Parts: sequence; C-alpha cells; structure tokens
Amino acid sequence: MDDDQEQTHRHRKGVGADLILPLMAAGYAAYYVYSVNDFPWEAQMNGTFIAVAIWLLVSVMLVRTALKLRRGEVTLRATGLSKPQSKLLLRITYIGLTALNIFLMPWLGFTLTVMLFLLSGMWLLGVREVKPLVIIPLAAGSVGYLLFVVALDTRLPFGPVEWLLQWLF
Amino acid sequence: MDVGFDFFWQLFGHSLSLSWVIIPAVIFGIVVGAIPGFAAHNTIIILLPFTLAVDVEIGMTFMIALYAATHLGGGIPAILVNIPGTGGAAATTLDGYPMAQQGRAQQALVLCFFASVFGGLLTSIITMFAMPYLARVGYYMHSVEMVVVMLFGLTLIAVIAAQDTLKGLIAGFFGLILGAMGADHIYAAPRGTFDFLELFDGVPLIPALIGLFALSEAFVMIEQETILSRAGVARMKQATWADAFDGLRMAMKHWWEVIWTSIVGLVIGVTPGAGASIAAFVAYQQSRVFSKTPEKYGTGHPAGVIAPEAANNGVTSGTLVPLLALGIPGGSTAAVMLIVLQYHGVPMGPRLFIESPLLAYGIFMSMVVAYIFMIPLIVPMARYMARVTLVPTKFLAPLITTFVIVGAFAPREYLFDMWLALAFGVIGYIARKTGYHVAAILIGVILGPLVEQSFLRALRISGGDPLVMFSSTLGNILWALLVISIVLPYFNTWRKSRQHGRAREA
Repeated sequence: MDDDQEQTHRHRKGVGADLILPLMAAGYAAYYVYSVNDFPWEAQMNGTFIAVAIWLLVSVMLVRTALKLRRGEVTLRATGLSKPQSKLLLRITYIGLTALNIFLMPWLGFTLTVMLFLLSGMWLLGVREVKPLVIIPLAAGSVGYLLFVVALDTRLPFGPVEWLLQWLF
Repeated sequence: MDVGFDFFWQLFGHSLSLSWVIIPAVIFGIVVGAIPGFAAHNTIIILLPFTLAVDVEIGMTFMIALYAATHLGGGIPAILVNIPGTGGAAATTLDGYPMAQQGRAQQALVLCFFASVFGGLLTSIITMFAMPYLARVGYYMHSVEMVVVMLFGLTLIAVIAAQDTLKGLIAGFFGLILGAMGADHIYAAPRGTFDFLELFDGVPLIPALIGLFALSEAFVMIEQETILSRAGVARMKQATWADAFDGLRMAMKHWWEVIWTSIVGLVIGVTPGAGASIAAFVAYQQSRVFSKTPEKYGTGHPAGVIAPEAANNGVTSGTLVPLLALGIPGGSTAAVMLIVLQYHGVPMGPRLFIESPLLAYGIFMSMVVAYIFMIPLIVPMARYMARVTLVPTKFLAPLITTFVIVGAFAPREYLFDMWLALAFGVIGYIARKTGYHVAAILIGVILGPLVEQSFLRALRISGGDPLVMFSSTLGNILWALLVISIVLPYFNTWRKSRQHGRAREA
C-alpha cells in the first residue's frame, strides 16, 4: 500500500463496531427461534415475528455497509468502539475490575469488596492521593453496610467484615 | 357521614397532624427512589413489621408518603448521572441528562420536582373527588385497549430512531426479543433462556435498567474528566440560586404540559397491570407529538423532563383506585398495601368509603400533604444536588459502579442478577459507543412482554380471531389516536417545509 492509499484508508470511517450489536441481535434471535421450535404457536408467534424483523433489519444494515465498503467510503475497523485509543486499556481493565468485584463478592463479602473495588477503581482512574484512597472506600463501605445490610436488610453476601460485626454486636 | 367541603377541610387538618409520619417517609422515599433497584414495593415489604404493628391509618400514611416520594426520587439520578432510580424515570434521562451536561442540572432538577409535585398533587385531588368514575376506567380497559396503550409507548422507539432509523429500529427490536425471553404466558414454556433458571421469569427489569443505563454510563464516563461539557463546567461553577428560579420559571411556562401529562399518568395508573414506566414513555411520546418544537426533544428540552415526571407521579394516585374501589391491586406496591389493609381487617371496595370514609379519603389526603411537604424539603436541595455533576469521574464512576451493582442484586437477591447487569452494561456500552440508543433497547425490554401478554390474552378470549383487536369502540378510538400520533409529526414537518418553501418563493 503506498502513502496516498494508506492516508485515504486512515481517513475512512471505521464501521466494524457498528455491526456488533446487530450481529448480537441476529444471533440471539436465531437461538430464540431454535429454542421455541417445538412449542405451541402461541409461545412461538411473538418471538418469531420479532426475530424475522431483526433479520430483515440486520440484512439491510449489512447490505448498506457492503455497498459503502465497495464504494470505499468506510472500512471494517472498529474505531467507534476503541476511541479514544489512549484509554482503551483503561476501559477494558475497568470492566474487568467490575467483573472481578462481582466474582469475589461471595467470598470476601459485600463490605470488603466494595472497599477493595473503590480503592483499586480510583487508583486505576488516576487518584494517587492517600487521603481519598483511604477515606472514600472506608466511608462508602460503612454507609453501604449500614444502609443495605442493617437498615434495608438486603441479603448481600457475608464475608469477614460482616461476620465480625455480627459477632461483635 | 356527609362528604363535603368541611369534611375535606377537616381531613386536610388531620393529615397535617400526621406530619411526624409523613416527613420521615418523604425523606426516606426520596433516598430510596434515587437508588436504582430499591423501588417503593421492596422497601415497603422490608418495613412491613413496622406498618403492620402500628395503627392502620399511620401505616397507610407512611406507605403512601414513601410511595409518592420514591417516584420523585427516581428522577434525581436520571438527571444528574443518566441513571434512572426507577423504571418510571427512564424517559427522564432523554432530556434531563443533556440538560445536566450543559450545566443546567439545577434547572432540570427544579423542573423534575415541579412536575412531580404538581402532577402528583393535581391527580391526588382529582382522584379524591372523581373516585367512582375513575374506578370504572378499569372496566373499560381490556386486553385489546391495553395493547394499543402500550403501542403508544412502543412508538417512542420510532421517535428515538429518527436520527438513524435503521440503528434505532435494530436497538428497539433487540430490546423486544430480549423482553420476549422467559416462560410464555400460556404454557409456561421457557424461551431463549440459555437454560438459566434465573431467566425463567424473563429478563428482570432492574438489572437490565442498571446495566443499560448505569454501568454503561460509568464505563463511558471514565473517558472524560467530568460528565459536563467544557461550557457546562463553566456554567455550573457560576450557578446560583437564580438558576433554580429559572427552572421554576420554565416549569411555570409549561404548566399545561404538567396538567395533561399527569392526567395521562392517572388514567394509565388506574388500569391494573399498567405502571409508571408505561405512563412515562407514553407521556413523553405524546408530548413530543403535540409539541411545536419536536426537534428539541432529546437535546435537553424542558418539556422532555416535565412530561415523564408529571406522568409517573400521576400514576401514584391512579394505582390506588382499583385497590380501594375494587379491592384489586393495580401494581406491586398496591399489592403490599392490600396486605396491610387486610391484616387490619379493613373492608375493600365501596364498603370502605361508606364504613371508613376517614381512612379511604384520608389515604389520598395524606398523599396531597406528602406532595405539599416535598416542596420545602426538596426544592432547596436542587442547588446542592446539582453539584454532583462537578465531581470528577475518577471518583464518581467507581462509586456509581459499586452501588448500582448492589441495586441489581436487591430486588431478587440473586448474585446472577449482578452478572446480568454487567452483561447489559457491556451491551449498553457497545450501544452508546456505536450510536444505538439504550433507551430504545429498554423500551423493548419493558413493553415487549406486556404487549405479548395482553395480545395473547385477547386472542385466547376471542378463540384466535385477530380481528378482536378492532372489536371494541374504545379500542378503535385508541387505534385512531395512535395512527394520528404517528402521522401527525410527519404531517407537521411536511406543512412546515411547505410554509418555508412558500416564504422563500415570496
């Protein structure tokens, strides 16, 4: 690819990411129709109607994209999703941290995971001052414990902090 | 007992004397309503030991005040951080959050409070006097009529799709197929559940709402320093009490909007099974249809905040009508209230109004007083609440993430729902980054199963005849109104362009 071609390629809009949601919708619609295959018509009707509509709309979307690709107006790069590129890793790590928070909650309990998540989340997003890194997780953990566990009696997972507090009071 | 002006005046005085119950309930309700996942019904369930232990009048007053306040509270995070506290506030995000991003959070909050309080106040008073007539609405609203009412809400997808029709429709239909998940309404056969038992009842609304709005917003939020635009930061830093008065002025200017959208909420609330989410979406869609400036909706238009907020507060008194007049709970909160009333041996239906008029009318008067108390309790807070938008996202995003995940867990207390919220968060994030509207997905998730349920019921009753959808006079009137509301915006656009064309020629 020469320099001119490369520059044109760079300026073209990347629409690859725009296709993720339609493909997810079409994929789930296919699974849905498969899952109701043997059911009475009343159970099939609504989902099948919606699935057909999704497939039609997604087909139009794919044709539209293909035509634009052929005309050289767009590329299949997923720039819509990755922008801003400088914060891509940060976003992926943050989503991963959220997943880790949920994963660890049954073992560490609600209060401790809240504190650890806030501490690591804020640090990841650029907070370096010790004061907020200590005070906010401690305050949020305490408020969360008092509001959700004590006042609203939500059966959130218990961990060392909750067991200790239950034993003390 | 003579139910005249003196009676209501004395009742008002009596309800005022219960302010020691109403004020804490209002404060508690606003806090609970502002936390996604903690709606009125599950809070009232938690507080059942209290409401069952005290006198029925005090218990009901507490529940009513809390219920009304949660509807107002739900709009606060919807405006400030694009996270609706309740499903009924989802439509508020469409214009409330853009206003906040422009540094007009204070105005948006005052609009929300004004619409909620006066919408709720007006409908409570109407309900008190027109109870026997409103109770009949439930008799006329059958499955066919309900299908059409919900279609009014679904057409909002088309409105949202106006910017990019194809993307809007794909998002809306994606929501509809996700909403179709779970056991079907006749045979209870599980559909598209990936064999997860937790999805047998369909997609739970709160984790979907939290994922699509709150988590995805938090994921997007971390890309910027604050949620405000540059101009918004400057404007917000200079904000004074004058901004609150500006919000009040805007609200007064739209007084007619408050009145008619709250009545839309009341009528939808009276119908058993319908709720605040449907009312808010329908009111927003109708407000846009009849607006002279429909193109401003979605960009931070005051009427876009007023319509859903007035409607979802109009629902509060409406929901109580079938409960008190017929003994049929119109929603989950009313069902919990029914338990309390039955526990205390209170008769339901017309007997309630003959044997215990003080209690029956007192319930609505408590609501009136609760709304009056909300004005001094909440309006002065707008200025301080609005400052949330100035908090840097490095603090805001982790705090939002951690607390909304608890909100996803709260209604059913399944750890699975936290994962579900994360999955919806990722879907919402992809949608936001690639130009698909998360509200269109949510409308599908909320209204899809309700439309299917009413549609199948109508078909079942008619023995499978699809023409049943056009078999009732009220239904046909609603169909005609639906067609008009779909065609009207296109007609107005055509008329305007013709007028512009003529003006240019002249």
